Amino acid sequence: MQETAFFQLSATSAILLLVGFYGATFLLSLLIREKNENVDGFIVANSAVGFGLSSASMIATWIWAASFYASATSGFKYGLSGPLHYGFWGALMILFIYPFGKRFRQLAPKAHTLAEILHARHGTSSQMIMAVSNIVGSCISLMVNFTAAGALVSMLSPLSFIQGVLIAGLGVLSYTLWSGFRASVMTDFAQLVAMILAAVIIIPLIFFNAGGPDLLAANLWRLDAEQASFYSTKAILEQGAPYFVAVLAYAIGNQTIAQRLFAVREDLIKPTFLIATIGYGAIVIGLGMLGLLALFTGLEPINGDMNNIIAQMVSQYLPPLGIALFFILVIGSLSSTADSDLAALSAIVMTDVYGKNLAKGRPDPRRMLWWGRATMVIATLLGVIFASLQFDILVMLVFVGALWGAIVFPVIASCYWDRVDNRAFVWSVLLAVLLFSVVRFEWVAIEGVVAVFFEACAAVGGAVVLGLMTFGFFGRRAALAVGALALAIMLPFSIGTLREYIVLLSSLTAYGVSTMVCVALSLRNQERFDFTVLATRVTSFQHEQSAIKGEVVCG
Amino acid sequence: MWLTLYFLAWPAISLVVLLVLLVTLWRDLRAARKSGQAMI
Repeated sequence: MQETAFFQLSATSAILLLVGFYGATFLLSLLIREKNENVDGFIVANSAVGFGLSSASMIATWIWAASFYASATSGFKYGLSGPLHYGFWGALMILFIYPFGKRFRQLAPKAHTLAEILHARHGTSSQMIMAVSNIVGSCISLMVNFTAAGALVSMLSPLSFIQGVLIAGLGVLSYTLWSGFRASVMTDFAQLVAMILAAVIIIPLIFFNAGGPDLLAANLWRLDAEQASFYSTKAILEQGAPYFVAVLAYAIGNQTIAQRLFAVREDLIKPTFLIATIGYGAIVIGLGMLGLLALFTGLEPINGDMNNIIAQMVSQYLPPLGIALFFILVIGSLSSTADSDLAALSAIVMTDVYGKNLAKGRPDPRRMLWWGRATMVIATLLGVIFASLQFDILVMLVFVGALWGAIVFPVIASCYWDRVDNRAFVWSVLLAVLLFSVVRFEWVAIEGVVAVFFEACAAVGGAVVLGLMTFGFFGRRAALAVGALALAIMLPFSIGTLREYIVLLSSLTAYGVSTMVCVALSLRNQERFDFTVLATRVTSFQHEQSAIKGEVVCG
Repeated sequence: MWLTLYFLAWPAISLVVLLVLLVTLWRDLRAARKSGQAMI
């Protein structure tokens, strides 16, 4: 071991940990390997995954490397309520999407992607909006996770950033390539077990090594009034509300979550999402406590970089074995998300690009598998290259966030309301993204009448978010009542206030505008959609292929 | 006291979740062996 700004593992220890982790994961994936993989198994594990595996996979996927850093940063910046404003809202969104997930499964039990349902519901343009947003989102996520691997390895060992990126890229690809989603789910379980064990040991150890209850009692003075309050307005407006809105979009717009939704046994959707909610919340809030503890100790982040908080706490208060555990914790979190991204990308390319478009609904399963595996290789290559070049992806990230925010209402409405058509879907999304961009990048000065217009749109957006959450659990009437009440309360509050919070204003504008346009255009539509046709339009690929062959033989 | 509890409750809940997941995985494994079908 050698000591620098952070306590470092030796190169041998770091390599042994990485090889041990990825080697064990690869061996685990061999347990389920089949010579001839079934296409539906490769994409959604034949929609028959049990409770334990699917819950673990949901938690492991939802937690990525940034979860720890962001939660700790939130604890450090906003004090007592900080970790809650990251972890609690993230967890709540898992719970929030399960009623909609049940509806998706009820409409199209054999679906592989959400975009596939949109193809059956509206056609190619809506499908492609969803698919492209999924592809860009997963590529970004892949790159961010590989970047996190490089940063961690270079911070806690003498290995370089590029070496860390390469090892993570090759490691994740090695165990995901052959069995796809099945391997992702299987290895997620083991990775989550390692992550929870590490968290359960690390958090109390750091807490007591830092001084425990005595430290808290002696240093409460370090927290200002906002930080010492569980009801901090600053924490809600700067962290809680924007994150709540963003993560809702992520829950609906991301294929990694949809894929697990389509994979779990239909009767287990509710308990799976419930335990995933609790598990995600406990782990992420728990690690956020390290940021709060850092605030109590008076820690100064090195170079002012908040992402260093956890690593500094770990270096300062953990023995070498603890640091190795932390190393595995972060590698496990980023790998489980990266393998989910690879599985998601392959699912979208196999289903939405090849299956529904290139093959015109008559896919060849073997060629389909080739497309899936080729996608994984190319995506890993791109992820590694972009991570190595350390591209600034903020603008792209903001756009994907906007796109996901804009599609939430049209996607949900398309699955419940028979008047929504392709035109309403496409125009509502495009206009919402355009107006989001106007606010987010301040293409015009957000002041005067312009600001009032956007604040009104944002108030509608806020009402839509609350209305949708109510709708999932309590139905249309309750949702309309909550939405109307929320609008009445938020409208006067928003005017003159939200212009000071551009991130929140722009996110809520995306929700508000997409909803208003979608509703307006749908009300003008006189045609009605028959939802029962979705189940016949969206079917299993492998069975579908057999049926096609059968038709040919019979013919 | 409550602040210490606030810090340490989360790893405790995580541990409970882990136990639930392990027990259910074990049950799934047994069911899969009985039925002769793959678990995933």
